[in-house]
Amino acid sequence: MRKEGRTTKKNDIEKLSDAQIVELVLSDLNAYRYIIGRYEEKLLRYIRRILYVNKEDAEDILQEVFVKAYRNINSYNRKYKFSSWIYRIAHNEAVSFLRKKNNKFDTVQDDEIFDKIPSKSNIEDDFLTDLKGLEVRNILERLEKKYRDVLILRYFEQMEYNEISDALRIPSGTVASLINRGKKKFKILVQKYGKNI
Amino acid sequence: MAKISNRILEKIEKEDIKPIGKWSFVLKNSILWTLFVLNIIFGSVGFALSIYLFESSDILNLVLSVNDFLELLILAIPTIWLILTILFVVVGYLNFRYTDRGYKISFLKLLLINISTIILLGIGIHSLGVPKNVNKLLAERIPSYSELTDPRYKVWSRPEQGYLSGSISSLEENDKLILKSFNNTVWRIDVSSAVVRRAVNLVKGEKIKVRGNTVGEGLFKASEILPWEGRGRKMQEIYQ
Repeated sequence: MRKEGRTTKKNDIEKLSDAQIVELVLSDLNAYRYIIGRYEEKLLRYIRRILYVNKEDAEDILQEVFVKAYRNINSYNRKYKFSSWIYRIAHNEAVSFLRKKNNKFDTVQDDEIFDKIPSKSNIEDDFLTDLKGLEVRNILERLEKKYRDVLILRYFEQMEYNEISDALRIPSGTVASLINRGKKKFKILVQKYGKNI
Repeated sequence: MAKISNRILEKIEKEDIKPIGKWSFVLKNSILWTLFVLNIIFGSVGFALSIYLFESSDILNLVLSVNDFLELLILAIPTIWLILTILFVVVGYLNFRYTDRGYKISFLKLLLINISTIILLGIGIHSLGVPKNVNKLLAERIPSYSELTDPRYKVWSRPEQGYLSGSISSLEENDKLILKSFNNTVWRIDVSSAVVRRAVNLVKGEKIKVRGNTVGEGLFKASEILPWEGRGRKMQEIYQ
């Protein structure tokens, strides 16, 4: 009976939106488990995509992201998407990791994290579809960080422009122009280096 | 994956991590907004003072009589207030940028909004006559304020170019007076053929501006004597 009740509660919580779970978290830390469950995989991949760190380092960063998110949970504005808010924290944490390490860490050739290229049905753009994970990874690594950040959020995290704007704290117009220019630069790099990378 | 969530929740419980109060974020945001508004107000007052001091520099009257307009323009620009105004624009921009949704507006757009708001408000404040009182107040409270900010001191301290100013130390016979300039040089002024403006009383201690030319070491022949204060027609009218 007790187990059944717990399962019902779990199912109920799983049906809630992120913002509604955040409300619960304020009174019950255990509800935070659902937020972590929803985002740990996505954020772990995201961190590895922007930093090229090994899984263990990425998990350490991820832990800090969730701790920081919990500490600052009251700064989340319910009018906006929770995903943008937590991606922003992840992005900041990744940047701060990069600064602390001063770029002195071993990069890992985990190409499979770039294999999951979004389908055309999600994003009407095919500039990535003919490339393999390894090529995408290496070309992205050659791009300036500002272009890499927006391209990853747009084409791997499948975010809308306004969500990227909220995640990176830059105007939507800037997001659009960075994506446009980033794609052009990406295509130039593909032509230049192709499969020789 | 469940391991990560357990690890995180354990850390939060073990280290007794608590969410930062909502009031703290509201306060931070309110402080940034207040600072932004204050910077816009200060910037506008700064711009109004810049216009006021620029006008006071007499450039509009002098421009026709000088060859080097650029030099005069540089002399007449109230540099300190203009720099302060730009500083208020920049700080205002930064305050807004770090508010909750400050990143939504692009750098250029926000800068243009800031600058145009400050210019429009500044013109409004200037037309209400506020800068005159603010300038007077600051001059009374801050030592050397006038010398540092008022371009008239620069414009009217160029005897070689025919612009001299200071306070009358004494009046002598034969249409001569002794003037102590603002940089403490003593000049003997010949006023025999000078046009004296209505607001000038030619009394000891009076601050005046003199146009003319140097005729020797410490000697100046005045062609026109103007009051230090006042730019109105009545003040500047030629005494009949």
